Amino acid sequence: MTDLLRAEWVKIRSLRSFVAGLVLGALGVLYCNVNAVLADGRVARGARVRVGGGVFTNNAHIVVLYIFGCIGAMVVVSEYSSGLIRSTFAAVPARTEVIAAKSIVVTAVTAIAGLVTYVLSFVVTMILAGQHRFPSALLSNPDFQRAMASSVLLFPLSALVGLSIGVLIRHTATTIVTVSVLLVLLPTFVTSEKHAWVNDLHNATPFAAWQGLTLIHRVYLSPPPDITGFANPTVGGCWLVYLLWPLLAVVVALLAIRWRDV
Amino acid sequence: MIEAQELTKHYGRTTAVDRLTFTVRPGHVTGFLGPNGSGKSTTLRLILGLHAPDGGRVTVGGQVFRTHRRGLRHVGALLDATDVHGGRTARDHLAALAWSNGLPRGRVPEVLGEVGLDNVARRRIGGFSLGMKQRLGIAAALLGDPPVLVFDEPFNGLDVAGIAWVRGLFRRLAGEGRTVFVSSHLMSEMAQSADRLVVIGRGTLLADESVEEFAARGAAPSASLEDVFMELTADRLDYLAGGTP
Ligand SMILES: Nc1ncnc2c1ncn2[C@@H]1O[C@H](COP(=O)(O)OP(=O)(O)OP(=O)(O)O)[C@@H](O)[C@H]1O
Ligand SMILES: [Mg+2]
Repeated sequence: MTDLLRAEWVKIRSLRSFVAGLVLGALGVLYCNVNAVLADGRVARGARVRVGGGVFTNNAHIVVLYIFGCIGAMVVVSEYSSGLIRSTFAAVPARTEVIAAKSIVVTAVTAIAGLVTYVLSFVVTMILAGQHRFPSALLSNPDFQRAMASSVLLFPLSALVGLSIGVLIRHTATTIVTVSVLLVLLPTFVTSEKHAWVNDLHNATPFAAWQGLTLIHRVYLSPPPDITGFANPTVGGCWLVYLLWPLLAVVVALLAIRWRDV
Repeated sequence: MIEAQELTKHYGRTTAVDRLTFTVRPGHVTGFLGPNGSGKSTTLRLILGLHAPDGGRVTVGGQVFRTHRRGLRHVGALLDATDVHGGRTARDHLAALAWSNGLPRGRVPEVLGEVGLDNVARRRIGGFSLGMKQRLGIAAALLGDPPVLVFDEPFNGLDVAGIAWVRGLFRRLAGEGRTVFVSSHLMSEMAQSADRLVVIGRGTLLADESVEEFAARGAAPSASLEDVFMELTADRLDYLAGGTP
């Protein structure tokens, strides 16, 4: 298996478009977060950056879902569209192992990208907000830690879901559209103030789970009024969504790859 | 050794390969011939387990290829020279294949040298000509030093020197006791490269014999291999210029 991990790593590292995608994703997140801090600063000059406001923005996570979903998808779709997948499977008939190796490498690369992006974002937004002392109290705050972890983990989550959709659909355009609908549009469209099950469905999306995991922190600062009257997502429930999406995605991809002709 | 028994593959209503039985022996260059659309590429994809047969089976060295975990040490294949990602360099493309099969990294410069691509190793494949891609595909097939080699239309896009070189390479590989199976739709090409022939038409077997035996089928003693091939496949052409015969 380590031989395949190495091979997949060479494949990712050797494509400019993947590297460009990672950088683009990171810049997008930085832009959204920095922009939010600057806007915040203008409203209340000198105000300390709220952890739930400045550093973790909705926009940044829409960027993550979309760009990293696409990066994960392109890892397989680029092989199908170029025909490389046939060379790959002629060299490695154990297709399941190939997809497993791709999933592991994609998880590692995007998790590191997420970590680097969020450390950068944190430092930059702190400086812009005029925070010069080392924020040790904040770093040891479990709510902050949870918000940070959920934001970083959204990178590999999106990429694995994208990868799985790529294995199932194979065609570039259709895959990208499906990734956007499933990860980005679904949570915005599936909302209801009347039906509890629609609300549950909404809460089962990665974006809602991420919001849950960071909102809980915001609640801690200033509880928002409960408009809908429905149950709010629990921390455990949100982590379950974080676990189930990539897990199901990878299992489906591993099963699907065995049966179809390439 | 490649053995196909009653091999069958349908695509929707098309029967691409129809109960095909043949054997490709080691130590020979075996030409795989048939008109356009007769099922050559399909058969090669079935051999490599890229497509699953609807009936029958095909084994390489007695084993169904898909049951191997890694393939390059068992079968080297060039199915389509364009089955590469244009954004990678020749070296990275081969390095990924070598790593995937646990082959020593030193094999990459070795095979690049063997096919004459060493000075473009760091260039992106997207800028390669078809002939250069064919050479890269041959390099990939040689990576694992396999006992069985399969090539689909390897002469496409090669210059005269390239064709002569590939012919020499095939003879050398067969001389080393390997199984070399080469498809083509041009008899003239195979006449100079192969010593055995498997001929198919519309997915069914027409001949599986030595070149001499095949030549002896000719009605007139002066008949060329090409004449025999035309005669044999005349009623099994799917795509004919100028309408039906
Ligand atoms: N993936 C596929 N889906 C549907 N039909 C296919 C597929 N691959 C091949 N066919 C059909 O199967 C038949 C055999 O095609 P194949 O490519 O094997 O022929 P070939 O002998 O390699 O021809 P050529 O000399 O032109 O390369 C053709 O009718 C083709 O249209
Ligand atoms: Mg063909």
